[in-house]
Amino acid sequence: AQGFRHHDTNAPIDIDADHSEVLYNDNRAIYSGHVRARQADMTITAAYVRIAYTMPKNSKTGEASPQMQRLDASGGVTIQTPDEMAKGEIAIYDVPKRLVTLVGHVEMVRGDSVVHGARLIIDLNTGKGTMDGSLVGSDGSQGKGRVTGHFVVPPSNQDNKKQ
Amino acid sequence: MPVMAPSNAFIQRRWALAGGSHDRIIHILRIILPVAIIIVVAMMAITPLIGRRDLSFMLSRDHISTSKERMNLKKAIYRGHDDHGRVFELKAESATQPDSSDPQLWLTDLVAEITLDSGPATVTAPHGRYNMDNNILTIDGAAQLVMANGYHVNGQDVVLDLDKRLITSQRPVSGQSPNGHFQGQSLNVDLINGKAVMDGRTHTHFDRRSGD
Repeated sequence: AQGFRHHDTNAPIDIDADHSEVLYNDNRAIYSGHVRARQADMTITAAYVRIAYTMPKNSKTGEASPQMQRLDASGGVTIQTPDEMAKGEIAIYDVPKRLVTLVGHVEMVRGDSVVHGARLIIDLNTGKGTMDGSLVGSDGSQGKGRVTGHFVVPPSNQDNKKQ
Repeated sequence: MPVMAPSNAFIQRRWALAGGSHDRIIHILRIILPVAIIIVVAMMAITPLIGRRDLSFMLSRDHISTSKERMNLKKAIYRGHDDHGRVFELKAESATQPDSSDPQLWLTDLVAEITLDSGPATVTAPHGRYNMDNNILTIDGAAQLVMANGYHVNGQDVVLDLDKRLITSQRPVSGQSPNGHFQGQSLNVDLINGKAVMDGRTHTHFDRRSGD
């Protein structure tokens, strides 16, 4: 998952939604209805996004400079980067830790290869995505999830053409 | 019989003798007083005829300068409080109430300041109407909301319910937050619960994080 490696988690985030609700006393914001959150070249789309941020006092200016802490997306989430696309039911983006966790019928597509699983953890520092079948915190009715993948090994000539 | 000095009694009563000082006063008054009477009577007879000035004074309703409004204030300040006893203040360059039947106060260059636990919220606008009965301030045209926590909102045709502390606008709004800017097609701010809701294709921009 190279696309994620260069991702700058401090970049500004732009959110478009049909409905936005800011609970400015609790430093929380809720977006619903065709929500699209873009940060640098990563785009998260979902039906519902919740953002929590903190308001640490900026030591120099003394003003509150809010820090985005966490973005929770649900209701069918897709995470799109230039060369990957991951889908799942719920996504949790822990901004300081630079981790994106996708849970629930996860499907990750990269080029022609597709990987399915129950949970995908993308570490934006290394750009590495680890998929596993264990359903965290769900009723586990689906039993031990299995990771299935469909990898296409491009024939050698196709390979150099694409590069 | 030797000449005797006049007795005291005689001296005291000498003014009563004929030709004494009392007689002289009476003699003069006998002339002055009747003449004064004649003059006064003459004056009373003549004066109404000679002076054309109408001495009588009657307030004629149509001549005095009537103000067409029931109330016209300059640099007005209206201080009220809502159901919870929280104070709000309404300042305006001018406040006029056209007629007493309509409880609306038409304001210009108004500043409405609502005190909140998280600091004051201030709405400024060039024009507005404040309904004194239901405590609702209706702003026609541009309005700006500035809140203590760093939120600035620019909008149009905003309605402030000062009792319920709600600010609503059905027109597009845009604004700055401490960490970015936002815009939407309509706005509902609930000042009591600290909730700002925007509807219709909203866009929110969060600035670059300064990193932890």
